[in-house]
Amino acid sequence: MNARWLAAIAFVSSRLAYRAFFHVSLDTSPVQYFLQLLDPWYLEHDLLRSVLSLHHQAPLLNLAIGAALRCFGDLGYVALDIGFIALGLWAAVSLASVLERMGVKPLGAGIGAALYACSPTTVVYESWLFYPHVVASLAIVSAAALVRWVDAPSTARGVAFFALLAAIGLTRSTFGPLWFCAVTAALMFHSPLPRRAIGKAMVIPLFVLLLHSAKTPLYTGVGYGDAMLWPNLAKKVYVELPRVEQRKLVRRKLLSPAIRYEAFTDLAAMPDLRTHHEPTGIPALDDAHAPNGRVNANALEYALIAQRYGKPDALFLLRTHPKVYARAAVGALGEMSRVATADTTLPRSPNFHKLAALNAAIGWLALAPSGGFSATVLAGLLIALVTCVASLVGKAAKAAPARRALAAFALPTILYTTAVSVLVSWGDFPRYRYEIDGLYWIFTVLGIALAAQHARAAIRARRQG
Amino acid sequence: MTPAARRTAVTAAIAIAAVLSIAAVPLLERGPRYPFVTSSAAQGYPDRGRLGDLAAYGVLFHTKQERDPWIEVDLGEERPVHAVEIVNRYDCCKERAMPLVLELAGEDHELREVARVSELFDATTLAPPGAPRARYVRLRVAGTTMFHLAAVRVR
Repeated sequence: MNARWLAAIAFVSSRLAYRAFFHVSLDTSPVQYFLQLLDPWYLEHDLLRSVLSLHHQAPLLNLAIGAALRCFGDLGYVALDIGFIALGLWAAVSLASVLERMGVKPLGAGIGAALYACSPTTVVYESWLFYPHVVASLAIVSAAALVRWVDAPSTARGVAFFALLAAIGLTRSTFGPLWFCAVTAALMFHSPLPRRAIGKAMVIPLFVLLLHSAKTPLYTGVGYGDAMLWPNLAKKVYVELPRVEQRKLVRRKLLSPAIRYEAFTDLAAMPDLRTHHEPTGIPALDDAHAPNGRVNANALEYALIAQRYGKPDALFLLRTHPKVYARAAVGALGEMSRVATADTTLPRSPNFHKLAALNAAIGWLALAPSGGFSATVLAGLLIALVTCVASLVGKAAKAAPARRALAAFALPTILYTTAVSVLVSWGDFPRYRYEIDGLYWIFTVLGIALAAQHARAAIRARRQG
Repeated sequence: MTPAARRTAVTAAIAIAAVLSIAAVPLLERGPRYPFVTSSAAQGYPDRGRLGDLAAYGVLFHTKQERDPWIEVDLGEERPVHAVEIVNRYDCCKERAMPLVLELAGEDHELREVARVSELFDATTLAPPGAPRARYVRLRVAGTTMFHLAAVRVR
């Protein structure tokens, strides 16, 4: 049985079933209200300038939405749906291919890929016009590209792999040059590929990522992600403090009034924080509201408010309450072992409710019916981490160069994503983990397959002995 | 064309056909995208659109808090209305859509009540007796509230 065909058939038949029987369709509503996505008015009327002006979000998804709306008009969302499905299919086939190449038997690789691809969790994210599905799929496709590069080295394959990494970085702002360089360094030390070849292949994609990081300060005068980073850090500590302590800090003016507001609250509702600036001439930066009245979260003023109030608040809280911050980070680490649909934003998606019964079943299987800590998820993550580390060291590493290279990509990605999530964010950690669940899944399936192989070999040896 | 290239082309064609088939399912289910207007629009929401649109929080429309808010669908010409399928908002506030009144009007725009639902619902179908002919289909909440629905389909 060909593992890739098995995964592809499972993907296509499951999607037809999900859509026909559960009425799942692409939820495009995030475009209308998520702070990460520009209002369609900017995308339709001023696409390139608006996308270039993004100062706390990566541009690729906004660009894709804008291009689809401009090119296909009313059918733009259908085009995006087709793109999301195609990406999901590509990821499913890539997953089967990687598992097979890692030494899992074809049937096992096909089933492993199908389980991931057909899971209602994957379907809920795939049907949500937002980052997780794009990043999760690109991470899996990158893994497949890396394995192909190791198997048949060529500059084109190397550039393809690093271009996919750059695409991840241009889709999700957390995956910046630091992560890119960490992966590159790990590959240089642990993959069988010549360092010179790695260096040659990564130059252009890294240059693009660096150019993108430099663009924000050059174009807007504020740091990339400032509007998000500082308020997040401040909130991370603040929400952990007892109510009495919170009130005391605000009353004594040790914290600014900004701490009382949710991030990206309507500027009109925060008159005490307004931080005016010279108009830039770019509507997506200057407008407090989109033409339909929606809050424009890309307004430059949010970054200025974050610099003026959020940054001092965050630094003060980190300096005066390091233990609270540490406790929040450790708590966040614990949150990582919840099922991937345990999220505060996802329940706003109609598809989440359409698939509620199936996701509840997944919750039961994960021993977390209420969506809390899941021993099954934790076990899966630990198996993946142990297998990943074991693939980098010892005899196994020498015997399986492709596996070693894949681990050299996966481990820094897993560690980086986990670190950034728990150190900066203050909620929705399972969703952030979902973006790299494909990498975890590869090593979980591999770990189980290797354990089964060892067990079979031991039983055979005992019988013979 | 080499056998390998032919195989690749066939595989790509199958993949494209499969992806398009999956994308087509919701389009076939969606029904006609008749235009609609609403009595008002909450901040960030449009006051007009087409059936099948999705606004913030996965709803079709969202009015302001007001007395007797409504949504009116224009069928373009008089035709028999067999049923109006309604899906309530998914994530919260389902009680805001009650009691819901279905009114129909012809070209003269004289609205008359033909059906009503007073119980809390996730999804419901209102079938006016005798499938009367109408051009305008109005759903109105009798009372002061914000009105929002996830989907409306006229058959």
